[in-house]
Amino acid sequence: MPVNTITYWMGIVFAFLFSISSHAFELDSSKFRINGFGSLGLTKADNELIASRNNVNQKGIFDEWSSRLDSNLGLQLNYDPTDKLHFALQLVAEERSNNSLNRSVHWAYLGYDVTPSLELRLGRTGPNAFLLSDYRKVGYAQLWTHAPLEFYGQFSSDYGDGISLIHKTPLAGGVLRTQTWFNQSKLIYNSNGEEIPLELKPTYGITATWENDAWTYNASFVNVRFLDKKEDYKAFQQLLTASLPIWPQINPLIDEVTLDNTQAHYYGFGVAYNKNDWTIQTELSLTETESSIINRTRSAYVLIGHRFGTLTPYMVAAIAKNDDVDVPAYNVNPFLPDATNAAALALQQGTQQFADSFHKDQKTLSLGIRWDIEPKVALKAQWERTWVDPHGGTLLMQPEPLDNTETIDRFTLKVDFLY
Amino acid sequence: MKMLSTLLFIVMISVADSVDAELVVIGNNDLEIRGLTKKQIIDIYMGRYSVLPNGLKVIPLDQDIDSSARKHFYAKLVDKSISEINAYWARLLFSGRATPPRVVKTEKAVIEIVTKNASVIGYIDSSMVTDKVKVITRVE
Repeated sequence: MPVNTITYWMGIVFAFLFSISSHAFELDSSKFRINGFGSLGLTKADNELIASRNNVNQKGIFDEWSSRLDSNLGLQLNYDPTDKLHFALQLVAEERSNNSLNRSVHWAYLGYDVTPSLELRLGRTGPNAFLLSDYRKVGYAQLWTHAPLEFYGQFSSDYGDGISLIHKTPLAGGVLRTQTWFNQSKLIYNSNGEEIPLELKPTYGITATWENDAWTYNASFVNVRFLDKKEDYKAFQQLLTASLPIWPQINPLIDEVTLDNTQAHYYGFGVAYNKNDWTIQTELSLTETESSIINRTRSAYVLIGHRFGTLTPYMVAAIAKNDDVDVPAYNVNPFLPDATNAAALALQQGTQQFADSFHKDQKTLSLGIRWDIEPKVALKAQWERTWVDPHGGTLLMQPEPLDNTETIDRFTLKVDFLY
Repeated sequence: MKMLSTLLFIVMISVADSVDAELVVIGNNDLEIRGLTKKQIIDIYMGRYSVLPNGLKVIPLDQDIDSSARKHFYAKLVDKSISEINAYWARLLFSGRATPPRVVKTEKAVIEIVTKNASVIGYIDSSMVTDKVKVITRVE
């Protein structure tokens, strides 16, 4: 049975159990909870050549005001029919490519406490590898208006369908939480308006988080196998293969113009300090793939904030970079017709542009302030400047290849709330 | 003189208001523990770890979001404001790591629930303690 189908049935089972549990509207409030979160954000970017966005799933904004990037609404239902059984359902409405009800379901799982320290979850769960984990959609839980694109924007998968095991134990004056999982999910990469669907099948990983009153440490490893069902790249591969007699240097890259059946490994490490009105947080990650075109990506950020009563000013510095890919040159052959040489040169340039379209080389500096107006409402304002080096704007949207360094100034005004 | 008395009264009222009432963590009389350390109370109320060395999983109760008891409890326990606590719990709740303690509206209700459930603990003003429950620790 496909895992998507299992997730679908988990939702049905959840709804069914809820409806038959004595009387749905007379449930013991200690067993059933409804919680929600939301954000209303207004964003202004200022560049007409390159579009700003929060993750690669979004369609970015150019020189315009928009409420699309930073607004969402989430609803979460938790139901614990017994001390050991837990059902959870989380729905998030937001702007995303190829939007659907299925993609709005971020959680639909059944949890079972095997022991008081060990929980087994089956169904759809959120991503677990990061310090922010999957609460990155919950604006109120964060200091900034949005997580840095350089770090969090490249991982746009909101959930996985499968199984996970969570273990907690006291350790060295704190608590160590370990989560291992095996699942599959889908990712849609919006490349200049074109939606590129990728399957992540399977995904497995482990993340360990240790925390005490002041410190949180997080270390993760994730392995993903990408499946690209689109056939577009095959024609490209055939073209490159056909050019081999006159351009043999391209041979090593032919199999790497697609992510299909490619493995990727993610290594992440994060530290956070949260005490005495200070919030200091940093994460580092390295993503490696088997493809030399979509090669090693290093990303990092640092967040520093200090609370003064209800006001918390903060700054964030973030960077993402991978290696340049130099497509082998085509050497003009004087014994070939001019038209053949011209076609081969055009193919070389096209291949270079294709490789450049996966290049990341950008950094952002952000300054902002959070004002806790009410116990469950926060108003935030954030200004940020992003520097994008030539061809380095894969995480953003660039309809035309950019040969020069570009900057984007972006301002966000946002209200985050819980309900 | 009358003005001085009035001023003194106002100062005393202000001081009395600023001196937090003593809060105690209570449990069921059948709870087989002699006491919990402050660190254990923090781990339980901050959703980190609620299993005691004897294997019992403890269920904490919270007070109303607007209550002064709740404000003082978290200020003394972890030196955080209610907004910070809400943001902290939003992180845990919406990442599936833990669900926040169940909220009970009154201290009498806290005592009533603790009386009926051997694994439940709560916090109340020390003046409200009865022989139906036992004091596990004082929140200082």
